Amino acid sequence: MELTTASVITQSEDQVSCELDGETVLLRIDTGMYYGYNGVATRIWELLEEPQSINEVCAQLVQEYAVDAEQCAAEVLGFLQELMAEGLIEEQQ
Amino acid sequence: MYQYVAFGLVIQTPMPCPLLPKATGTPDIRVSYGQVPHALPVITAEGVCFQANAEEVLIRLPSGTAFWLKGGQDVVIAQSTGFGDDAVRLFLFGLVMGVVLLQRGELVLHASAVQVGNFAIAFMGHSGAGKSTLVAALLHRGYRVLADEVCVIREGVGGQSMAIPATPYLQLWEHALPHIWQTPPSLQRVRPEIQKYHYPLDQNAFQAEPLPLRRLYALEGWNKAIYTCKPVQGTQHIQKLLGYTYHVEYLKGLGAQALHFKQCAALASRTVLRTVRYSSTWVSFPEVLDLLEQDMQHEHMHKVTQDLTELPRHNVY
Repeated sequence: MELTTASVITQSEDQVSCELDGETVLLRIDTGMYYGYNGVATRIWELLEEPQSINEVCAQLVQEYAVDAEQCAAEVLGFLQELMAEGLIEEQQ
Repeated sequence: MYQYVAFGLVIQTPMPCPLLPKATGTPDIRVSYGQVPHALPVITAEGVCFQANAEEVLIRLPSGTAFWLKGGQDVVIAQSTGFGDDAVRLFLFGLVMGVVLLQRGELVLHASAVQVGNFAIAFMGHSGAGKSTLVAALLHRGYRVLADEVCVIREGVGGQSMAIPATPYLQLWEHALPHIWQTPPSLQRVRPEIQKYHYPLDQNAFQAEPLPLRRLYALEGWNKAIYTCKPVQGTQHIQKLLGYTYHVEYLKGLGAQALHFKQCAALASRTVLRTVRYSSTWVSFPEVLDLLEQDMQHEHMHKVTQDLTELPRHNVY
């Protein structure tokens, strides 16, 4: 499933997460796989507690970090596509 | 019927358990002899010796002895002929109670633990890593023991993680004894078939009250002679707690993964963890012990900040 900047996404129901020492640790419950992310990824994950469009996520990041809007969109899309593939986020229709 | 305290719970047993302190009051867990089904009606996880679902676990040993664990409250034992009471007790207060505690939603680490000042320090490790031997050596140096193998962690007052006193004895392999004592004492075997011994702990040796757990060490033997002791943070900290959970393979069957993750996350936020690597052939064990004891006595463990990007994925259950 291809995401676009208009896609509205949020944290999946099939996972639990916590933050520890500046890292976000995610556990996919059904598979038992766990993942660790830090840096900007931690902030992105936090923003996805509530459904957001990718545009909204990027707008927030551009404000908080010294990053170019287009580059941000490309990197965020890539990262979120990965989270999607792992079943850690879901798209809201 | 007999009643004893272990892991802070009252356990009723159909046979005497002379190594345990007696208890009065309503039992939390009832153990009895009886018929055990061949299989569970629903199986959400299984292994070579077990089947599990959200309410029940069936453990069947190669000898044929079986344990039926119901809802974290009842255990039924079908003892096969030739399987002695010593062996039943060994499994009952190790593997079986460990899984019962998991059924009760408790956090159970595969760890030994000692008292240091007003706190507990735990040593996590897989079987054979040296948890019991280490703790016996520390006992010899004056530290009281809370646990040998099954370390239950419960919420205490004010959001503390408390290490719970387990059972007042150590189980030591024959080859470990000379590393602990110049002249090993005369000890009883845990069961006739294996060269493992009970070392009972009296009130001077056994810490019978829970203590806040502030730090953990993960014991990982390797084939090098050098000793290292490194701090572990973030994802790796939780990874170690998840991985050193007692019989973690049962958790998927119990449907307890989300709860377990949250418990490990809470514990990780309240503790510091170091991974200790040392020669698995016990070369320089006294030196390893000196270095470890020095580390244990330090008030603060220095946190090391690492710059990390995406970390590898791992499978827990």
